[in-house]
Amino acid sequence: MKAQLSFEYYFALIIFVMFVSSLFLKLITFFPFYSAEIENQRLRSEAYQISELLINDVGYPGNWYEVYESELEKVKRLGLSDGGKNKTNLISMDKATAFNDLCQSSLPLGYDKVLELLDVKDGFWVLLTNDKVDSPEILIGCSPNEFSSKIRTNITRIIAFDDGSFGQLRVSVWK
Amino acid sequence: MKNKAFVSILEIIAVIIILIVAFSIFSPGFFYQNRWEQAFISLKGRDLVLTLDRIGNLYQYSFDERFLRDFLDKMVPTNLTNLIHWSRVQGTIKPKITVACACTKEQRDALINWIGRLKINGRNIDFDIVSSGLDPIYDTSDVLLIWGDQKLDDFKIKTNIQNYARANKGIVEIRDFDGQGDLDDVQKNIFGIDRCDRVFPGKCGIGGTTEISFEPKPDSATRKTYTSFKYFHSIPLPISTTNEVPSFNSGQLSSCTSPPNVINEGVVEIRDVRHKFWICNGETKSVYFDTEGNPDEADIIAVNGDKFTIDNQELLLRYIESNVIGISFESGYMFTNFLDGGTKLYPKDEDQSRILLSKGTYTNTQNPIPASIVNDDVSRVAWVSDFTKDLTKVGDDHKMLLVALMLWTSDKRYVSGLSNLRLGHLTSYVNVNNIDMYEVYRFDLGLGFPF
Repeated sequence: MKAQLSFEYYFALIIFVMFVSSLFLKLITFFPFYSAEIENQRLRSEAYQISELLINDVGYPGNWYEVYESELEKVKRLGLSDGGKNKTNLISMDKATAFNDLCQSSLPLGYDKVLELLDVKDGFWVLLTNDKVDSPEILIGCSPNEFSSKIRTNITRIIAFDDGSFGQLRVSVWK
Repeated sequence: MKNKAFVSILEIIAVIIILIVAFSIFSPGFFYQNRWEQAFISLKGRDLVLTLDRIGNLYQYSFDERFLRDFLDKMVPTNLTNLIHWSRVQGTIKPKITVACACTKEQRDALINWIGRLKINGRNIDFDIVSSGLDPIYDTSDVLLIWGDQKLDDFKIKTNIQNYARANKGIVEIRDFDGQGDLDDVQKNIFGIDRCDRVFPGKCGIGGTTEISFEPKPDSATRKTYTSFKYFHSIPLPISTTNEVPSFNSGQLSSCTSPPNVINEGVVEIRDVRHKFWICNGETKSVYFDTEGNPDEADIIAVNGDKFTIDNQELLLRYIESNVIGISFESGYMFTNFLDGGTKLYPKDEDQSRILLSKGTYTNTQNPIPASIVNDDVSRVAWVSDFTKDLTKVGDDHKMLLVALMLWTSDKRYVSGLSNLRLGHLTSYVNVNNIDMYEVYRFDLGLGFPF
C-alpha cells in the first residue's frame, strides 16, 4: 500500500502534463504566424525606406537623369525628388521619366540595375501614377517579368509633381 | 469513509476549476500586435498635407471644404481605405463671421448694407449679422457689437458680457461718453477704459487738432493694436457700383474704350466727401476716379495695384471686378474728426499702446486723446467713438475701421466635429499666405478609422 501512488498524485501529474502540452501547442501554432509577422514588419519597413528614398532623395549625382544613358557607371543612387526646389514630397517629372526608361531598358540593366542602385535585396515593384487627370496616368511601372511570393507588403504614398499635378507612389516588396 | 471520499471528489472538482481559470489567466492566447495602422494614418496625413502645399492648393483647400473633400475622396476614398477625414483651421479669420448686433433695426440694416463680402488673400469672408440683445446674448456668434448708449451695469447683463468674453469671443462697442457720470464696471474692467480726469486729474484739456490718426503707431507685432492696425491697412474694402452708365466725363484723361453699357459708376466716400468713380471694363480693366471733388469729372485713372491719392490720403486699388472695386488705406491715413468733444477717456492702466486711434494729445501733455481703445485682458474687445451719429454719412473709411475691429475681435477658433474614433491622427501644418496681408494659421487634417 505504501509503494502505491495515490489518486491525487496521478491527477496532479495529468494536470501538469495538460498544462505543459497546451502551452507547447500554443507556441507551436503561434510560431509560424509570429515569424510571418516579423518578416512582414521587415518588409514594410523596407518598403517605407524605398518610398522615402525615392520621394525625398535627389539621387546621386543630383542630375542622374541627365547622365544615366551615357555614363551609367557614374550613377550611384536613384532618387526622384526635385533637386531644384528641394522640398519633401515633390517629385521631378524628368526623373520619373528617366527612372521608367531605365527600368524598361532591354540592356542587361533594366530592373536589376534599378534593384542594385536602390540596394534592394528582395523583389520589388514600383508604380507611380499621376492622379490629377480623371483616369490615372502611369508614369513608372517597374517590376520583374515574373514574380511570385508568399509574403508581400505594399505602401502607398501621396506625392506632388513639379508641374503642379499630384499622384501616388506604390511600392511593393516581397520575399 | 463514504463522506471522506465525497469530500475528496469535491476538492478535486474545485482544484480543476481553479486550475482552468488559472491557465486561462496566466496563459492567454498569443497574438502579435503591430502599430502599422497608426503609422499608416500618420504617414497618409503627412503626405496629404505636404502634397496640398506642394501643388499650391493648401490655402484654398483650408478654407473651402468642398475642394478639400473632393481631393481627399480622390486620394483616400473611404470605400477603399475605410478612412474618414475632417479638417479645421485655427488662428485666423473665419470664412464666415457671425456678428451679434445689440443695436436698433435701422443700425442693423445699415450694417448689412455697409459690409459686403470681403476678399482677403484670394478667399472670401462673409458676415452674418443677426440681431441680439444683451440678455441673452446670441452666443453662437463670433463678435458682439454694442452700438450706442446701452445700460451695461445691470448685474445680469454684466455677467452675460463677462461670460461672452470668457468664451474667447470678441466685443466691439461704438459709443460716446459725453455728459455721463462715472463709467460702469463693464467699461472699466472689460474694455479697460476710464474717464481721463480719473486717470490724470486736471490734465485733460482738449487741444486744437481736428484729425484722427493711428497714433501711437504699433511699433511691434506684439502690440495690442497691431492686428487691427494691420487689418485696416491691408484688407481691401469692397465698394460696389450703383449703376451702369453709357459714358462719363473723363476730363483731360484718355476716354474709356469700354463697349457701351459696361461702364459702372459708383461712389467712394473718404473723409466725409463723396467721390465718384467709373469702372471701365475695356480690354484692361481700369478705374477712373474723381479725386478733386468735381462731380462727374474723372481726374485720375488707376489699374490693379496702383496707388492714388484722395484728399492727401494715399489709397491702393487692390482689385477690380466688373461692378466692384477693392481699395485699401495706406499707412498714415487720417480720419476727419468723429470724436465727441465730451468723450475724454484714457486706458485705465495708463497703457498708451492700447490706443488705436487718437485725436492729438490732451493739452500740455504727451497723452493721446483716444478715439478707439482696445483691450485683450480677458478676450479681444474694442471701444470706438461713435462715428455713426448720422447713419447716412458714414464713409468708407469708417466702414473699414469697423470691419478691422470686428475682424480682430472675432473668435478665431474652430470646433472639431469628430471624436470617439477607433483610431485617429491629426496632422498639423502652419501655413502662410501674403497676397493682401501676411497671414499665418494652423491647418489640421484629421484621418481616422471609425470602426
